[in-house]
Amino acid sequence: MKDFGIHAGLSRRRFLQAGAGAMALGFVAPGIVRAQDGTLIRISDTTALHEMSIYALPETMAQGYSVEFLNLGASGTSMLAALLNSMCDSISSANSYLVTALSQGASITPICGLAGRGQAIVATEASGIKTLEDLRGKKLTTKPMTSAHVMMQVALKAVGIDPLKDVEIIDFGQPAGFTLMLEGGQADAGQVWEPFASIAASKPGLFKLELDRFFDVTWKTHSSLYVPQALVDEKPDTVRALVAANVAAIDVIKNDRSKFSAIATNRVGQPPEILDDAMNNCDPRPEMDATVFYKMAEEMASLGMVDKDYAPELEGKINYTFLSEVTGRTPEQLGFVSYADYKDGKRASFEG
Amino acid sequence: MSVTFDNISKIYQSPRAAARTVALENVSLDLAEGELVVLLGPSGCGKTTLLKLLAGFEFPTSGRVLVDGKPVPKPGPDRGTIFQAPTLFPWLTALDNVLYGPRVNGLSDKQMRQKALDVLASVGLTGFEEHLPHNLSGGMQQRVAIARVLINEPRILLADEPFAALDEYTRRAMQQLFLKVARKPGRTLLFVTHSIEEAVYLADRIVIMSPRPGRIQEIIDVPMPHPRERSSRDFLDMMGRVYDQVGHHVELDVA
Amino acid sequence: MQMGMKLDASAEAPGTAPASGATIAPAGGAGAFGRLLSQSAYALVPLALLLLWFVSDFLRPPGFSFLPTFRAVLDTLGDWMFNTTDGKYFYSGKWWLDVVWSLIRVFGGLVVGSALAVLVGLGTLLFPFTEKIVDPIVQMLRPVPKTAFLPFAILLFGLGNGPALFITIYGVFLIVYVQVVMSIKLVPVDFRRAAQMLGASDAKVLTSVVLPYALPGISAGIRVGASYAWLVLILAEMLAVREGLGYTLWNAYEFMRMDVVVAAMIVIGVFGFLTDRAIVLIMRRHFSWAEEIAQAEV
Repeated sequence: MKDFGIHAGLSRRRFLQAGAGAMALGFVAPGIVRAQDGTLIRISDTTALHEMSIYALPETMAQGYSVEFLNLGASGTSMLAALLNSMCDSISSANSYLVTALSQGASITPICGLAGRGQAIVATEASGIKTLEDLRGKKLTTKPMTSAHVMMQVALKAVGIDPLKDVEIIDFGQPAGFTLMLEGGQADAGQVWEPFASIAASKPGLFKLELDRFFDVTWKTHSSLYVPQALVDEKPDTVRALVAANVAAIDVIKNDRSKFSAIATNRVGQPPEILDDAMNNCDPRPEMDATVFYKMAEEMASLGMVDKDYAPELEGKINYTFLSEVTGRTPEQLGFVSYADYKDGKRASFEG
Repeated sequence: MSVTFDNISKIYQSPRAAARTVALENVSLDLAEGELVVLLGPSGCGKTTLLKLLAGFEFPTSGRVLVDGKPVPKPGPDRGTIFQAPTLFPWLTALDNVLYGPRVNGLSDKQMRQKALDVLASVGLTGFEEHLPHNLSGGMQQRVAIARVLINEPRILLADEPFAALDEYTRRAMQQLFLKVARKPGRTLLFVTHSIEEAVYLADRIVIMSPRPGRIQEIIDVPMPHPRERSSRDFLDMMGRVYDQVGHHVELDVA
Repeated sequence: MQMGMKLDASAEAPGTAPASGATIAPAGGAGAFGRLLSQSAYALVPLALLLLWFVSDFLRPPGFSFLPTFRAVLDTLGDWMFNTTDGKYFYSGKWWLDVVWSLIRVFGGLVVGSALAVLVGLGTLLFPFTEKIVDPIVQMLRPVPKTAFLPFAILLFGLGNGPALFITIYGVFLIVYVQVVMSIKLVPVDFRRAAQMLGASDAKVLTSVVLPYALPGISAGIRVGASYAWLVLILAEMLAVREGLGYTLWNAYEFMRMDVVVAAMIVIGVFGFLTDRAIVLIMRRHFSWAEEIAQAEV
């Protein structure tokens, strides 16, 4: 660059080199950091407390496998896209997710349950609501097109309220918006998953509404771990290892409360005092209640979330094989119910 | 190096207005090797246009500009140009400005640095090599401009009213300097000015041009030897002769 | 008697007095302190705001209940930087990692985006028709929010630094490109002619004359681009990455840790300021000549 006649040429080139170096570092470094031994299982981050057994996976995962968490945001669409584009191996999500995926022609498979409960309807004292029946005619906030919405609709119907005519549904946008809308009086009540339900209920004037009854009239298991069907076909050992590790992880957070607390506090950033309530409202368990899947599919169809009732197609799509191997229980014990039996009114065996 | 303007016409067509300016119409002129020719005339007579055509900054609408029988290519160091504004590169020191030409032509600093210092010395700027242009006076900047052109040893040197923006005293000093350093055996010089005194002081031949359309009105030989006394009889007579020629242009057209 | 003036250069020189107003401090201790004082004046307003905030901890004016207290943010910042809670929260002790990654992404994006902008901008001078191609595309893309491209970027580059870098480069390019083209066009034609006349090829004219002349304007463009790069990066760190100032900010926002959000905002602001200062420092030699000319008295 000497013919430039400007010494500046040198500093420009250095600047460019610095930038190129920074970029190269940025692209290469994660690969270096990630170079652990064994098969890598990439799991999407979650914001739902009852799904947070996944954060115990690094400890319970067998030798020869490692876990990496990915930030895919909170949108189900981006998670599905990541799953189908092989950017992600597994996600944790509500049982409604199987239906959503099917309606988009995607083939994903629930392989292990995560937890029950983990949701709540939160109401404001100012609205005068005291029972589920009092929700009639009120302004309710939730995230439309999610399982929270579906579950709330089921609860409303169970107490004789028409979810399409007797209430007004408002979208809370970001989970932070849930608390803000209730505090600000823009909604009288709403449904959201933990820990946001507890964060909201910790504010003065807000409380959780008839929690036990709420689960009685809706359902008791809620979320599952999903993998692409392709992964089941091509790498069953990996899937088995994931299921085994997850069952162990569920045990950990179920039995070791301080461990669950540490995980939750770290992920959520809220202190254990606030998360205590949230953790009490979670029921970590590996069962997958097939009837919940069927019911979700029917509700989603009636809500117009999907183009048709996918319930009849779900029976073979829930994979109990690995779970059964790992736990030594039969699929029926783990929640399998055929579609025909479901229509006859049969419920999962552990529901009693 | 012979220079020939062969029946040059230059017409500017303004895209916005319908205005059509005939800057030069059928101008022919030969420059002999080694002579200092001054183009003299009021604004709009085409003198600067003629210079730009030789420099390669513009192209003739019709006719040809020939150097040694070949049409003039794009601008280059063989036709060094000194502009009315010094146009030095403001981020470069005087020395770097002078070294710009050699560097850009691939010559090494080791070879050329001493030569650059010498050229700057010849224009009287020793000690100012590391100055940035804006820390030099107008006259000094023009001296750097002369130096940076001279270091390339052009066969043709063009000057477009280079001293017009300077004060009287500086201008006279610069004219002397110009004669001292710019003239060289074999180098043809084309100097544009509107100052009759400057023309008479410098020129071997004065080409008097007139405007609308731009053309050559008269060519006057100035056989006086250098250095020329500005107050001498011969000098003043010559000025008178030139003045007679341009006289009727002096009154402004206030039509 | 010779009428001509002696060529006494020293009589003409206006001297090398620095242009008035230029910040060239006199040598010596007093000057250095004075400079420090004048530089620290920059911190006056931010300090005053901090003081106001600290006072509001005690006054708690109505309507400001959502604002985390000054001390809460300070505590959180301490945990974020030095892990005072023994790894309790996702951000505990992670400050250094967050800063380094965000800096890498911002500077990578800034440098590459600016370099590309200069290259393409110079290219439009060499090949004028390219401007007709590039310009409409740039103008159409500018109003579209850059983060809208995030999902596509993720699909293209996968998870990790790719999307953030891409979006940053892209955002910086759009801003700096416009400034480059404008600055280049403002180069007086006589400079290019002078360069040509001295023997420079078309490309050499661009790199040795046009670019240096346009650098002051381009530097200004890069400064704007830098602040935009931070903005865009923080948004882009919403997805695909698990470290970075933006990631921490959005994660905290999700779970309503407003003290973390405010701490992140402050840190981002400080680094944005430092980035700008760094650019000025690096580019100073490229535009100081223009400043001196502008400030010189006629």
